[in-house]
Amino acid sequence: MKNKTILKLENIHKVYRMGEVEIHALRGVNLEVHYGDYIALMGPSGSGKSTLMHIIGFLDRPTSGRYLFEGSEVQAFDDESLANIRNRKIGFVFQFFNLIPRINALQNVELPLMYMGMPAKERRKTAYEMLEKVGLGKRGSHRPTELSGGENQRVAIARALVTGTNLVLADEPTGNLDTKTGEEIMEIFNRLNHEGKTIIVVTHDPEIAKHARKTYRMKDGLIEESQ
Amino acid sequence: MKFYDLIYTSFHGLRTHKLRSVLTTLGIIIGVATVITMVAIIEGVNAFVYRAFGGVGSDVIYVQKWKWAFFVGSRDREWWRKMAKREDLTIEDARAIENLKSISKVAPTYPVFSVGEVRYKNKTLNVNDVAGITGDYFFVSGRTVEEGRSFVDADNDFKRKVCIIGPFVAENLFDKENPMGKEIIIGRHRFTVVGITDKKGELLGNNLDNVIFIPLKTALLYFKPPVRGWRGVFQSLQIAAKVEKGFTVEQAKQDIRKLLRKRRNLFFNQEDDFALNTQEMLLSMYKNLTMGIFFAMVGIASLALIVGGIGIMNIMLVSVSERTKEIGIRMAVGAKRRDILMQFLSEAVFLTGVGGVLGLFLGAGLAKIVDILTPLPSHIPVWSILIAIGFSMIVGLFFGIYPATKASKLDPIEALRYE
Ligand SMILES: Nc1ncnc2c1ncn2[C@@H]1O[C@H](COP(=O)(O)OP(=O)(O)O)[C@@H](O)[C@H]1O
Ligand SMILES: [Mg+2]
Repeated sequence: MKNKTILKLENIHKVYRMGEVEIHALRGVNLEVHYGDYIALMGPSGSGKSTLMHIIGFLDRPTSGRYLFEGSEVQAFDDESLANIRNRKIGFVFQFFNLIPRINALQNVELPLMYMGMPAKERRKTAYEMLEKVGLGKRGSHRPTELSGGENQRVAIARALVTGTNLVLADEPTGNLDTKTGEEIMEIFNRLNHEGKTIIVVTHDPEIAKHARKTYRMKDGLIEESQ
Repeated sequence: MKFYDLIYTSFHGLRTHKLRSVLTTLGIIIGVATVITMVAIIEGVNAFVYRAFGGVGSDVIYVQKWKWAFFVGSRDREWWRKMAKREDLTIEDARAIENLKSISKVAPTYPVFSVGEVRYKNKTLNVNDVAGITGDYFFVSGRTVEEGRSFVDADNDFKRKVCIIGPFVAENLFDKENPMGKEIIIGRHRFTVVGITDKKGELLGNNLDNVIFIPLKTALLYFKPPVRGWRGVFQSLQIAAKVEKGFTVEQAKQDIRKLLRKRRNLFFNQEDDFALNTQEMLLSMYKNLTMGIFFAMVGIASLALIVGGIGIMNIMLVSVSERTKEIGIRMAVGAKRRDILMQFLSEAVFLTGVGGVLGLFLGAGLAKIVDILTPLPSHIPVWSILIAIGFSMIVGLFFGIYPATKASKLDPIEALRYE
């Protein structure tokens, strides 16, 4: 698997139009990611990191440029294919967890499996095993409001991985956590990478970036390789 | 996404806002309750009325001065003058009608309105109906003599003062005494009881067993019609004619009409100065009446359902905007646009369906109360339940489409960013 390309970005631009003003969030990004990569994406606030992650994660489309995912041209995908890829190929981990507050942890982890069409019983089992893997087997019945920040982020990671996704996109996953908890979360990412998962993590913190095996810096909508 | 997941998800969505959900469905509840109550009453009255009309006999033609009508409001001075001028039917008319091939038996009847109280010893009773009849009445009307005897020709020919009383009269005038052979005072005359009729019960508050029958010719002799007023019109001989087997009511009607026009020497351009009434006519009038009520009810219900539906649409729009972030999350983990659409659509349908069921219970309760407190009976037919719930769910579907579509069209990243 190593050295095989999972995704490739060529000259990606993203322009936000706000009335008269145009904001160039990405100005021609080139990036190639291989299976099993562990990439840290750093850079000042407003440099376009989140925008890039959203495009990689199929939550947003680029204004121009070429995006190849597992060899296929993303431009050609319709909404339903995008939903399917988000469901089975990509796991997103956000800074603010983005869990649904009115359902419990286990149900949050079940969500992607539900949209996958897995029957309820099997789903519960799979989601439970995933929660155990991130060390939360006993907290499944708790709602997000009853869990700590670190626990919520573990739930989010379990949800990101539960459908057997290979690619994990984490946008400042430790940004809302204290240093110690942040380190614990990064340990989980390290372990996942050892298991073969491809990980891209956005961070401001050089200590956090040290966990990754490659670091890219972003500035003004462009990537400059530093390592 | 599986069907039971859809149900569970939408149910869960609604449970978070129990009170709001119930309040939202108020329009639906009221609409459905109205329909169920009205249908229950109409159906109850229907069953009752059809049973009562059944007593009129579907093969009997009533020859009278006036045409039957439910609404007597249109009977103005002109109408009364016209009716008063009409010639009374006679016993000879009855005999002639009986001789028609298409008629098997006739029962001439003479209602007496001027009686007031009847008396036995020191007891008095206000009788609903006193009528002069012949023995054939009991072959034509569907009423029978339960005890004692019917009238024979001699009772009429000799204008005997005998009577057959309804069971209500028997109970209230005689207590435990046997009425048979006793003399009661009707008007200023003494009549001997020779029979008691069967029990018919009540019809819309009218006691059908509080009646007395006397021989026709006796009635014509002792109870002359008053010269003035409505009694002059109504207190006149009428003839119930039973249609012979093998003939249609319509045929028999034509025969009677021809016969009476001839007997009364009417020119071809003169209108009938008599009326031929039938049960079918009564039923169709009744149907027209209930049709009117039915359509009014459909109008009210539709209005309530539309108002309810707009309420649902409104609350669903609120719900969609409140849960924009949730929609974004669901899309981020793989929900298709269709999944989101179905989630909100089924939530709306679930909401109105529950409203429909609540309305059903409310309506059933109201119908029961009406049943208990008024003489109107009620009965809830199964089809009305299905239609009520079905329609409320359709309302949910219809008014849920816009909010659900709106939800499904959200941009994933915009939705996620929403706070
Ligand atoms: N939806 C949007 N509309 C307009 N401008 C946006 C939007 N999202 C991001 N931007 C702008 O694009 C630039 C890059 O933003 P972002 O990708 O969030 O940066 P980072 O994650 O590195 O802080 C910023 O200038 C930001 O203001
Ligand atoms: Mg960012």
